Amino acid sequence: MTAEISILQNQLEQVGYIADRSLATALMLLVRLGRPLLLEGDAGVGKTAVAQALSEAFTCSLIRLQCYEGLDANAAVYEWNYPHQLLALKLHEQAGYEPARKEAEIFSERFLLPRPLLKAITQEQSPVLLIDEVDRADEAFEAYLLEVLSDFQISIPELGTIKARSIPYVVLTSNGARELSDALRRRCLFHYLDYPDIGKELAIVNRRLPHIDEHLAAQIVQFVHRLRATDLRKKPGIAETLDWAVALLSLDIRKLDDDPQILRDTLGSLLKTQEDLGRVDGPFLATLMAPLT
Amino acid sequence: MDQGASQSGQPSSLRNDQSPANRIQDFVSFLRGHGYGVGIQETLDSLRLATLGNLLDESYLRDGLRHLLCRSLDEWRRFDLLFEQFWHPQRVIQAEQQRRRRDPRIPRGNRNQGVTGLSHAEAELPQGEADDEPKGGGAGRQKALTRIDFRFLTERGEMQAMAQLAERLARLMRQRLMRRERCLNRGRKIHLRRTLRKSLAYGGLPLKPAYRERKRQLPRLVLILDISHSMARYSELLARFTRGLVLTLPEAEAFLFHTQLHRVTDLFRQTDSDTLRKRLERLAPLWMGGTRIADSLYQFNRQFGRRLIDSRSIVIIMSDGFDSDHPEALVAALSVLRQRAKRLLWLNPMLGRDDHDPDEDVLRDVLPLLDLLAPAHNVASLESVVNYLATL
Repeated sequence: MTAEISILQNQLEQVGYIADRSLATALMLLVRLGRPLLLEGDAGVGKTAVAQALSEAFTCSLIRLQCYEGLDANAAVYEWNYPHQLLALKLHEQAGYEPARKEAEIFSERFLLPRPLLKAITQEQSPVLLIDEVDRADEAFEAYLLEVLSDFQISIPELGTIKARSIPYVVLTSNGARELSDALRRRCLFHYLDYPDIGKELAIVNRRLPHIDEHLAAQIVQFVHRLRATDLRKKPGIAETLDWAVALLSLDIRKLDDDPQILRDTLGSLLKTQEDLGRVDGPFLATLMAPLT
Repeated sequence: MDQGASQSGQPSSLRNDQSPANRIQDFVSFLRGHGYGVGIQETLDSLRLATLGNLLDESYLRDGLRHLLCRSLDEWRRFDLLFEQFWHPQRVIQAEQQRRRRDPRIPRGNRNQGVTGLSHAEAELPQGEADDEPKGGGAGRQKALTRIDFRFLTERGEMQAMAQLAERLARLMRQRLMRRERCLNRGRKIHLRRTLRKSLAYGGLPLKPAYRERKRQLPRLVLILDISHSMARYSELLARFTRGLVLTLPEAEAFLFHTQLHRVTDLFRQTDSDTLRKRLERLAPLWMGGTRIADSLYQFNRQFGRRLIDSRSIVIIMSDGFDSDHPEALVAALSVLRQRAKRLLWLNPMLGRDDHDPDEDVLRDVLPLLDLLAPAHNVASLESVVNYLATL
């Protein structure tokens, strides 16, 4: 499996995701053991991108379930197409069908609207199922999810039990907005995704922005790392680093110390709260800037 | 157990006579002894690692076991040290000896003392962690604990058990506040699925429609906790209760105050215990100061009132009420909250004490502004507050 881990690492790099060996091992275990992978980490460290990269690397579909407070089975699993059912009922009325037949007809797969979870288990080829920000969903939904992820089957009272045609590669992400249940954690492999080190982040910037000057890329990454080490309300993630690099490129900045004013004006790409922006005054900026290599 | 430090990068313990499966099982037990809740399935999956790859490749074994056996960031962060202690105890002893030799604070004579009890690892746990485990337990003990006044808790184990109870109560509160959608025979919103079902008996005509009740929206809790000197015996546990609420209710907001107000919602949401500890240490000088309740509430109204207080907000002030501001200022600040919030509660730990002698004048002015003035000196009193909130 060691060789396979390296191959997966290469595959992910080819689709633009730089994964360290530990993450590649987690993904390989996800495939081999068939267990969901729970990714935790601050917002912006690339948790969602893992699932996207995995689906590209495996050339399979990505099915995403975005969790939110109040998410229920109707939005996550399936729903009946009520207007069509009502229409069908009227037509069956005219045809003089028996009530039992009517019921069988309108509660058939024809009127079923599959939502992400049902879609994921009815694919011929295993898709990547991304359950994003699972910590935002309610406990009740979490318990339901646990059942689906244990058996990979869904019971629809009117139709019976639908078993998985293929087991999806399940990736759950959490920002820690709420403590997840112990049962869900036990069901999953766990990986904590931290902010990347300078080398890895530089590789990401160079991979995503191949035309960027090497020196500027190194300065940007160094600056962001120093900024992350300070006490901010919202630390800039990788996406923010890339946004800032794009902003600086579009303004034709070659070196970070070229124009401190432009630097300050573009900090909005990195810092997302007024409180954090307010902290970056002249002296603070000077400590972040010097000496950048 | 150990055959000496590995030279080839492979776990040295795997090279002795025991089978890899036995060693992995031993490691799983070792982790359980350190508080990892590893179940049978995880143990079986750990054993499957041997069939999937080369266990002599240390990075494979370490990463594989880490992903299978950790469940939280705290466990993730402790894993490396425990892995080293189990598979390379000699290496850990050498590293520790080197550290002691370099540490100028350790007397020269003690620097070469060995690290005892490595296999149990208490010595290696962060300070306080080893004795953090609650001793004793059981339902009877827990029930008794709920009645103990927070100020009489002196043992670390009791404090820990109480903190866990307070956090569990916070989680329970979320459950009580949530109401699942109900199907009714009357209402304003049609329950299509049930209506359709009922209509089958009437040839598809919805003669007897079913209705559903709107899902109850969670209130926004705003918790304002006094951490001044006079609250010293209560503020730590009330802070744990507050943090429990902030972690379980997405819209909850938490503030600490003494002579100034500090928003700590983001801090309390921090699930990384290392960061939480560091940031709390930075706040440490603020604890135990004097109290200016009115000033702090005025500051709250000015800075956060407009954004956080509306008809959905329940404001809970946790303070003993010893204030160095004028009572009129307190009444004015509370009046503003009263006008805008859905409910205004004051939890006072002193109310649970027989020797408490409240200032009648202040109480007379403040009481009409409050929806509830209740004690908060033990878990049972917090439970009553949770029950009250569930009825709103």
